[in-house]
Amino acid sequence: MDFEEIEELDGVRFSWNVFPSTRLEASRTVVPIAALYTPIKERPDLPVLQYEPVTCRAPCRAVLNPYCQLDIRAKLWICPFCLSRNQLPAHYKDISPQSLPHELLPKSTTIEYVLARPVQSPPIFVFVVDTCQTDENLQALKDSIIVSLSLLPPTALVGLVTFGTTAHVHELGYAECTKSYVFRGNKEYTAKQVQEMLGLLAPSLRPQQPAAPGRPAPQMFGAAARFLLPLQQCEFQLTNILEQLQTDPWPVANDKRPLRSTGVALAVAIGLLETSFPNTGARIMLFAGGPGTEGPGMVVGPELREAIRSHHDIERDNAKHYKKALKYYEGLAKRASTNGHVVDIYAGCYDQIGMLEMKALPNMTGGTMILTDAFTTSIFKQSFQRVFNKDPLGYLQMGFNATLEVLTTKELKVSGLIGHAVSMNKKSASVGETEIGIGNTCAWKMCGITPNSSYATYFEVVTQGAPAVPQTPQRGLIQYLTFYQHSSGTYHLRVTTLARNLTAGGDPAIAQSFDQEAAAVLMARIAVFKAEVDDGPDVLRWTDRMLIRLCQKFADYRKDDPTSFRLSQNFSLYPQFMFHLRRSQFLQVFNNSPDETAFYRHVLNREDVTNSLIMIQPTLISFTFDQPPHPVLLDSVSIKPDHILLLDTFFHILIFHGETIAQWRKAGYQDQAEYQSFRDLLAAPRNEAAELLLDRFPLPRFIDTDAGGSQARFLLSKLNPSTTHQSGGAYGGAVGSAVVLTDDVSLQTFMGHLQKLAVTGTS
Amino acid sequence: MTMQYSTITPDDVSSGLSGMTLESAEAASQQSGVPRQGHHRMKRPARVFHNIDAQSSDPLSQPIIPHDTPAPYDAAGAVAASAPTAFVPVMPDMAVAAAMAPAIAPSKHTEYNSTIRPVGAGAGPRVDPDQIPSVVTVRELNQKYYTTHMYPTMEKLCPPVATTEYCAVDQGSSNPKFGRLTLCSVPASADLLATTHLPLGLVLQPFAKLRPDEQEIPVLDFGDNGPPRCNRCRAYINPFMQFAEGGTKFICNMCQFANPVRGDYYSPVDASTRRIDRDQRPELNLGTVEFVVPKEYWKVAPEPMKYIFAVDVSADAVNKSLPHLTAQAIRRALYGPDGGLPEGCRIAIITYDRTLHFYNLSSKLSQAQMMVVTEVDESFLPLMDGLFVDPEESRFVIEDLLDRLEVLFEDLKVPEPAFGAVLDIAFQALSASGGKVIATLSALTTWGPGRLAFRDDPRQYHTEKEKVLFSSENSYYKNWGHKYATAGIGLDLFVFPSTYVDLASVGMVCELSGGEIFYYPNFVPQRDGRRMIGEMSTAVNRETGYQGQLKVRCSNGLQVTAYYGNFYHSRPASDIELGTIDEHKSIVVMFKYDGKLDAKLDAHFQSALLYTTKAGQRRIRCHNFVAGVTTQVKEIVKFCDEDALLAVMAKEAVQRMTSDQLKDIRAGINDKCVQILASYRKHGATTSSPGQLILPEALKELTVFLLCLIKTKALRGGNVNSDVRVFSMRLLKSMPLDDMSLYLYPRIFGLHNLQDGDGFVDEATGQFKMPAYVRASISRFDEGGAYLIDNGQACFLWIHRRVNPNLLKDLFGPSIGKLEALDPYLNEFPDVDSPLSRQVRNIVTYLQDLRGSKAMSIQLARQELDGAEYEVAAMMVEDRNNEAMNYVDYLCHVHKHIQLVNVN
Repeated sequence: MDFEEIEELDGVRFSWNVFPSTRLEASRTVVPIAALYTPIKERPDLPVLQYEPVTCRAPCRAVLNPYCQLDIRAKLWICPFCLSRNQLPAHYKDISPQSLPHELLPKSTTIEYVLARPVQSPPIFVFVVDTCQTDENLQALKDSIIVSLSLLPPTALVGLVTFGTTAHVHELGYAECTKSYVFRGNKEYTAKQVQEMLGLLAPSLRPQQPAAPGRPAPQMFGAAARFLLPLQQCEFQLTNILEQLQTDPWPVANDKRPLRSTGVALAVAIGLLETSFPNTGARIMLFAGGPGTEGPGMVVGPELREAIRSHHDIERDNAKHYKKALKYYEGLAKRASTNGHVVDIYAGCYDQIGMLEMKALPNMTGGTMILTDAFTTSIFKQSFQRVFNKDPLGYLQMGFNATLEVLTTKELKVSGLIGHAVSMNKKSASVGETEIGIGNTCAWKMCGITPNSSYATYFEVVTQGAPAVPQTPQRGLIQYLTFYQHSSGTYHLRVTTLARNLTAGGDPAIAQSFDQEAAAVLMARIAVFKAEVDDGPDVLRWTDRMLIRLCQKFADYRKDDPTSFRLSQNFSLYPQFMFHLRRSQFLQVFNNSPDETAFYRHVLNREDVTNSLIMIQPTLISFTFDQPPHPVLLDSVSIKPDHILLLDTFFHILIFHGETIAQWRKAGYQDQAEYQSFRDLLAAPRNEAAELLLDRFPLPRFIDTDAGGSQARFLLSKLNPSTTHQSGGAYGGAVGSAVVLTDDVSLQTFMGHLQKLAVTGTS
Repeated sequence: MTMQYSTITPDDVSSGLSGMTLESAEAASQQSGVPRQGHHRMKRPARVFHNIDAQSSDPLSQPIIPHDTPAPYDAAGAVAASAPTAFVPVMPDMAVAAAMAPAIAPSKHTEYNSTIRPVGAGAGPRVDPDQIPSVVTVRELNQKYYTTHMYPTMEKLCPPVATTEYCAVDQGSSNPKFGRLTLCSVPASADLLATTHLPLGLVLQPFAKLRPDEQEIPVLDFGDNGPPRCNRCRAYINPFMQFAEGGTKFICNMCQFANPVRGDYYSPVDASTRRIDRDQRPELNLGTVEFVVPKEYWKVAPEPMKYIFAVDVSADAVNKSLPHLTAQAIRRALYGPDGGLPEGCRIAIITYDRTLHFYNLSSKLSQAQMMVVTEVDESFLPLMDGLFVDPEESRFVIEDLLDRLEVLFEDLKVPEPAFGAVLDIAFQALSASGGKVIATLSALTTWGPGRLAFRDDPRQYHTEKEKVLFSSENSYYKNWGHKYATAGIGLDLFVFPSTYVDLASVGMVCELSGGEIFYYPNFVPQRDGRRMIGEMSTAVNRETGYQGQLKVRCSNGLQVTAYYGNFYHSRPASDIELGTIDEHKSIVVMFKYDGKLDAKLDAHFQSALLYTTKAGQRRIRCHNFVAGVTTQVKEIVKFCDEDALLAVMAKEAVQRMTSDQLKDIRAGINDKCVQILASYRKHGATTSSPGQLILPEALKELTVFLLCLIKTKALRGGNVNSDVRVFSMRLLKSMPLDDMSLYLYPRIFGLHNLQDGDGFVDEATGQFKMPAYVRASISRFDEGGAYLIDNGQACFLWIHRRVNPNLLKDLFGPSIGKLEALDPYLNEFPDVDSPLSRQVRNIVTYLQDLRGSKAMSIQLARQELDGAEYEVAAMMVEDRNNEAMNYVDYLCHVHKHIQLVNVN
């Protein structure tokens, strides 16, 4: 079975599919044993069971799976994780090898249970709308939100918070007129203050009077019902409020930014949900038209002469609001994630909005981050609509309040997880000592989860010393338990149980089981995780070192002879991935704003192997006459005058017309009947691009450019600079290929160094 | 004028006064020339049915007609026939009444009074009350004169009586409506003034309303240079400045300094040093002019006035229908027939309970957006654009909001209005521009900043501690008052308390910012709503200026010592600051001597009020007053202005309320009265027997007015809750003269005996004819009569229990046959098709026009039916009530003390 098939079945891709059996051997494989897991991946043939799972006794709680030993006569099963024997429940009395329950069938390594416990309340959506925007931008945003209302289930609760100089919570249950509660934009509010001011606390006459003892806690729902109402009840009122929404009614001087109290608005929205709906599926959607300039969490001061922080400022500790804001939003993110509420950030602004400072909110809660130039762009409009994508049954593809728990057999321990989740601090026998990403726990919480959300989980082998020669091939088991609130109003439990062989260190099976794509993505996640805390150069050195060590271990070479260096097929692409990763915007901040960096890293931490790989090493397809479209090297040599290139970097889709093609196009040949083939050629990459766009989220930016065009820089920056102004002879490089003006090393040089270091290295 | 004094000659001092004689024959003729009794008694053949006629004199001889039987009254027949038989006062308990009134004689109301008169029924009066000086007489005579005469300001006459309607001609000295000196003939020296015991003060009412037939105040613009001023004392150019040296110099009339005339103001002079262009220059002809002033006079760039309506919507307010009524009031103020703000003015509407609610009224919206600020302790403005809007531009949104205002809060009913936060927020909104805040308040503010406690304690009354209740213990309100005044913001507060609201504290801002309190204890929406709507509309639409600063300058030898009124005076030497000032506010300026005045020169006074008009123009309103200088006590007293004097004394007295005990203040008033009269007797009067009480002609009614002052709610004895006292105190402090005169001594007239022309414009004079007034004593009321008692603040309709049902039908419509059938909350006369109804409604409309800030609204005081009867009784100031003597006794009391003073 190849990796993709496994992924299709279980939503998982391991870096190694055969594990070394000892700790020492495992450490020598360089790339850790890890899996990129997409917990609620959509699969049409997924077995969905409408009954409760059979679980092992506490604290193990493993779920009955095909790898369990079954004593059909005694109606017993042995949990492979804790090795305890469990009685099968009474209604399993009729099972036999011929009639096994679904979860025991060998194909049922991934299975989903629909639990009987109903969800307390329908999903909640709170729109947090920035009003410091141009009329046009605000209007577009209002329209988008109003459209999105039709995409929500009618029972969903909705709320509206708007902000500018001050933050407003709109009382949707007030039919007499539009009414909102106002919060100062420059004050830090505690959750309790928010509740008090919104009247969500016990209706005692005075705050200092303690509530009468023994009285039951007041029904929160009732009070909050003024602000959060079922859509079907308040749609008219909400639409009316949105339509009437004006830009912030405070004058802005020419040399000032508008006062934007983003921090307070978020605190209020989180505070509102915190009391009224703890541990309920809720989504706070922030629409920011600019950076926070007021109160807690301000990113930049209101004076225009104060420039917004750059990477450079942050590195030199010269960004005066940065640390404070970061801390503030982290605090908010913690509160939101504790209560299971998702925070999305949608930016519609040419300038930065402080995504970097606010990144903790979507990153910790599993929210969405979308960075666009304006709310009028189709990138925003369509991406936003895709947030509300529905499954074939008409339910939102949106899970809430998910927890992911990992169980391992005794040979393995879990080191950590990298992805949009927070630790639940759950200790168990499966928790390892090494920490990669969010570690020291075997369970994580994802307030929001989508069928695309993928999480990198890292493992370690703990068996010490050389194992006795095994009678039977040893197996390590991993069980993922994903418990989440499905938008149909039920809780679901997805169980994926995986078994992988363990073998002695020298076994070539290990090398053969290497999934270089998965490994590249898993390593990229570690690198990005490190980049968040470490200096850029340190991270690059780390990736280099890891690559060299991997090559030393698995390449074929004679010592000190670089020319003899050979990599087997399933390793051959890995150095290229690393080369492009080193150059990517994930590790290089040059030419990217801090907000962009935060955004790119956010997306990388969500997507599965295929998409992540596109981000790391974009795909390039060439279109020309007489040849079917074919992928070409991501290299400057691929630029040819009579070719059209289609570049997909995941964030950008670019069509690049070679020089000749561009001239022809300018001359308008495509409009002449006799040049049908040219017209077809021009259309081909567009059709291809349209296909790529189909289920891409967020919608990429589409660029149509010609050779020599200013937008061509997006292509050139991604290409391997094999032909630069320095390469080639006196005549300026290889014939027919473009020159990339860069001092970066080319892949060829990189490989040369790698070979040299690998064969000489001693480590 | 030869008549100067009236005297009373008692023949036995020890037994009190027993008779009065008039010193002057003319005075006597004036007294007797007006047939006092006739006012009540005079019959008109066509209208007899409303009079108590001869036949009713003997009620026992009349057939007893039950209540519900309509009286035999046929309007057509009655008009045609002059037979007085139609009217029969009928009552079931006639026999009892008759027994109580042994000698009912129709021609003598005294007998009638004896049945109901609460005091003095035992011993008969020893002084004939008809012979003592009467406020009513003076008012009527004075009015009669000025009905046909103008008042030229440069003739050295005392101005008309305050209540008189007159037309003044500005001849260089300002119209007395703008300001009156207590002494129109100023003593030359401090000693002389001290001898008379009279105060020297100026009662200003800078925005007094002028009659349409008076000249409008000219507005003069001198461009960037501003109006010409004296370089030394900074007095503004005025008609009394002399030009010299061929017109190149002008000599200041205040300080005699010779100033060069600046180039752009030069004009040659003629042989009599009169500027050739004098006739074209209003500032050289008129006492009152306005100067548009350049930038140096600006605090901030003037802009059209901003208004904030702060509407209490807490539980108490909702229970009193206040949101609804206030909405109506705002609508009337902005869009009513008499309403409409000048172009450019903007308004904001705020409502509040424990939280503050703001409204975005932007014309871009289809409906107002409400924004709630719950942080009252640290309140802030949630919006700026859309908070203040042009009432015309946003009319649709505003009216829509006003329509909703009642329903919005109907179900919420949050107690405890956070008024302190309103002060804060209104300041934040207006601090940059100044403006006006109009707020309503329904209860004690116990929530939010500046929260107050219920501190009104009757045990403190009549003790040293009582005065504490009259001032604020809470510095919060004083601070806001200061800030409001300096920022040019005025607060008009409409208070609707059920119990104590600590008016001393919450009203402090009104007092200091030049605003006004409208106080509605026992508010009944059905009855008082109309009045409140009218008053709020007046408060918005009256002539108002803001960011005011007032400075009074006077001739060398005099200097300003004190100002009394409602404003903020930060330092003794500084100008007084007025957040806002309107047509119903008056300010007293007191002078003292720092030298001697030259008797050959006149004394000059100039008040300069720097302010911004509603329409947003920065101006100075300049009033000039001139008075002769004299060395004679007799002269001083002769040209003493009784109304101004009274105002000064009243304002001085209430000013002391926060520092002295009430009984001492009352005693002080008595002493002052005795001192003034004794001094006159000693220094000014022609020799007469020591037993005679001599009242100077100009101060004839001083005694009764001072008695009234002692009987006001502010100063009277007995238990009066402190809110009421404080309200009355602040009212007296800012009241203009005409209002004060009425407040002290109400105007009363019968509706049952109106004359033919009453209530219509007299064709001969072109003036409205009012009915004859009645003196303020229950003993003057006719049996079966109906009276309107109007003190300028409230207006009561007192109806005798045994009133003729026909009168009721004529007044209230055919369905009203008896007193009990009247709606107790009646507040206006219904439109009934009867001559009487037309007359009465005309009179009411006329009085409405005359009134100051208060709206004309009738309150029923039916004898033995309505509680308001007690109010009416208290207004009968000539009777013994309010813990003070009756008029005759008081006169005797004063006389006795004058004798004691002069003996010592």
